[in-house]
Amino acid sequence: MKRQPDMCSIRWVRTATPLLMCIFCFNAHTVRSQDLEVKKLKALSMEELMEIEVISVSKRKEKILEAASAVQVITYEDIRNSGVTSLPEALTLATNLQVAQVNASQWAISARGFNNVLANKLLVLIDGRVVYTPMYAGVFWDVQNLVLEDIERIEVISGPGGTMWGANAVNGVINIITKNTRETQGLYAEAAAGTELRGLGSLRYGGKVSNKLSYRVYGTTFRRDNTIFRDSIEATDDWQIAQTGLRLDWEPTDNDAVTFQSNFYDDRPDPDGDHPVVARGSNALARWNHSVSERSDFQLQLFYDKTWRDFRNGFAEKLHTYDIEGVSRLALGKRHILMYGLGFRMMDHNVRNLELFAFKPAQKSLYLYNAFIQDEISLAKEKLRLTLGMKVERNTYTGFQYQPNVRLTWMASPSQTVWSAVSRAVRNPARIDAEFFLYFAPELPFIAGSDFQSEKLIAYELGWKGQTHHNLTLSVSAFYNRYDNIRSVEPGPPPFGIPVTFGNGVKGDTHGVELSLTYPVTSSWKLRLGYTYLNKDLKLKPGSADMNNGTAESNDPNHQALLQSTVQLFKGLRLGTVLRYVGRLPEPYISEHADLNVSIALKVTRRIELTVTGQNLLQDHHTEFIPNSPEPKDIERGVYGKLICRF
Amino acid sequence: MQILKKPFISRSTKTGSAAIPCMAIVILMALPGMRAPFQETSESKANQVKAVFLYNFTQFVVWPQRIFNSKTSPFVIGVLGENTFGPYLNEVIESEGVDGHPIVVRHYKSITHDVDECQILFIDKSFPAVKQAIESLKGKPVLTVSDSENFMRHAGMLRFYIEGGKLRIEINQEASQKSGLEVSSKLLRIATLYRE
Repeated sequence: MKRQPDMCSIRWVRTATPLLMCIFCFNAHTVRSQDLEVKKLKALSMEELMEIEVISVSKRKEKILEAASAVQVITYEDIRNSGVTSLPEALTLATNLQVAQVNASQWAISARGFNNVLANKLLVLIDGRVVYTPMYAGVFWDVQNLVLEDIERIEVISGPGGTMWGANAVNGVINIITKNTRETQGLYAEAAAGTELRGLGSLRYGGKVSNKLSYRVYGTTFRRDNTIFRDSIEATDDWQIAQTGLRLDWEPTDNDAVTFQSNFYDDRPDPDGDHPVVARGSNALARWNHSVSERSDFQLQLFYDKTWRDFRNGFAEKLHTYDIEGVSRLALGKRHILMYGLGFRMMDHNVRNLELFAFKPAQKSLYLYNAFIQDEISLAKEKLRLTLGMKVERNTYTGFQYQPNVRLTWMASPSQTVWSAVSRAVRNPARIDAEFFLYFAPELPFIAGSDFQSEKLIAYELGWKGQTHHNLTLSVSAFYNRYDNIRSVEPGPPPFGIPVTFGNGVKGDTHGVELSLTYPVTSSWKLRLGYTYLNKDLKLKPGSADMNNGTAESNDPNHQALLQSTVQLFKGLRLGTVLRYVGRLPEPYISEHADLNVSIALKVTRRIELTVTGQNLLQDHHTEFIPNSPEPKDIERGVYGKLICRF
Repeated sequence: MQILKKPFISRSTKTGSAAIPCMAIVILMALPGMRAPFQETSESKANQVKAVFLYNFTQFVVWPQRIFNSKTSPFVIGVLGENTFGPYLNEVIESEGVDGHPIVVRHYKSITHDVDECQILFIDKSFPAVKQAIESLKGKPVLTVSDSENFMRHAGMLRFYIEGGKLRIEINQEASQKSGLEVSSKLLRIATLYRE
């Protein structure tokens, strides 16, 4: 809502900023039981044989080379070696995302553009749990906290995932997967302190009840320093959080895997720098994977998520999410792998309105039903794979929505895959789109609710992945996206042009190229390289008088690049460097910038490790993103030290 | 810590309608389980890897020399019960040998008297009389292998199991030693030791 008349008071805008600042998921990718050639298996050592994923419960881990989508994977090692300290920072390691820090506790994160503090075209899952607020169809990043040590990997899929993953997976999906508790046995303790990361402490204990049942419990807390205004005045937006949780993994038989996890947090961000927001939440998830036979399996997942956020200016919101989903997969004959699923979600959203700032009605229950089916067909001696998928979804605002997908994968050789896809995806309305009211005075609205429609996308993608015998993996994908019904701000009737409403007055297209490369140069030196080019061309639809002329929804760089290097200098000493470049943002204008992070890790003994990390080393401070109203805040250079103990 | 000043409106009672889709999902998910089993169950990666392990065992276990009648006697890998390997086991051992003895695969539907002619006997977990099969081989230099859960309790020697989606091997060293088999340290290193 840029360029809006200055009539509305700063106070409301300030309230609105953090505020203004899907829907079905499942945790499995398309997978196939690619038969390995017996001869290849015979050539492997017994140790290597034991590393092969053999059963369908974990077949989700599709080989990256075979995955017919633009996916970049951030591994645990990438996270550890880079010295990043939070989940949003870890996401900067994927160049198919636009990631910009707004202030101490807020980020703007999107894929394939449309980045904004209120970015709404990305689906984020933490171990299968959708983290999403129906308030603006985005993510409150300040409460998505994890012990980074427990992350196994982060899969960042750019491009629509609507058919498999559901609404809101318009431009991409971030799938955060934590380690199985079998992998996190024993005691882990970390303590860090520094100039920006003021303090961080985590304690985790993993144990085994039996060979089939293992668990971990953890607690973590941190405090982060203020950002600064451009004139170097402190912004008093420091942030702290405390979180605890547990996870259980139970494998009662060879064919069953059950996971249960639960988390609690108490978060105190202060994005406006005047009074800390109080955000508390808890969640619980249970998932059961079962192999019915070699050729059929299913997954059943339930979760509950409660979030509460008090903006401490009278406005507060509370959300209960109840979600159940089931996905089943079966091989039919020699050629077909059929996958189908059903899901249901209820989100009960409740706000405490202000007199002049309101969601109406204050309480709303949002229902989302979905069903999907997908057939993966092997053609031409398994060299060619055709995937046809369809998701039907019904949401409270716009009724039935259809998200079909056609994907063709050609395994040109064992080390090369070419893929192409055409998909349709939708972004369902959020409460802010349809039910938000902002008043000049009682009964005199400046913004009023409207009959907002779903935003639509048709995406065309083409990609290539290849691996050389030096294990250099290169992946290139190109996309052309056609959007329709993108959000606009439409003036009201004359003579005053109020109240303004959110409309669907913008359409246009984007295109771009994403490139990623990983290269283990030697056994002790690994390189990752990423580059993304993005170009947007948005325009107003006939009849629209968007007050921002189509520019309000996004502020994206045309170019961004990353180079990550990890070197094991000698036994026990590791050097990680990340060089990141982000091109200029057009509006509000932010100049291009490059950043350097350097992390040195010293393994003192088998149990103790010391690290020193410098972040954003190239400038004293720099701006990454300018939100709509408050003054821009800059991210400062930071240095911290960390002590890690494992027992 | 500030608690809610105003209690929120309690959740609407409409959640009852959630029960129907939930039920539908549970029913739908149960369906595949009710289907007739597939005709082929041998396509799995697990079985391929198991087949390759059976071949590896021929290289990492030492049998007493006297077990072979002549230099050309075959080295026999027996499969007792359902053949879950399909063609894989034969593909793996094709034109392979152990110290000049060609490896052959024999299938047994029941515990016949010639089962002890095997050097390795794989007992499929679906075989109903695992215990009797092991007992019939007591003291004989036959490496018994199975994917049956109770296998070790009956003094079976090597058991395949799956952990975290990966194939693992459990070994009962006492049982193999009693039968005069020598398991190489390399195999011992990758296996988990069974203790009663």
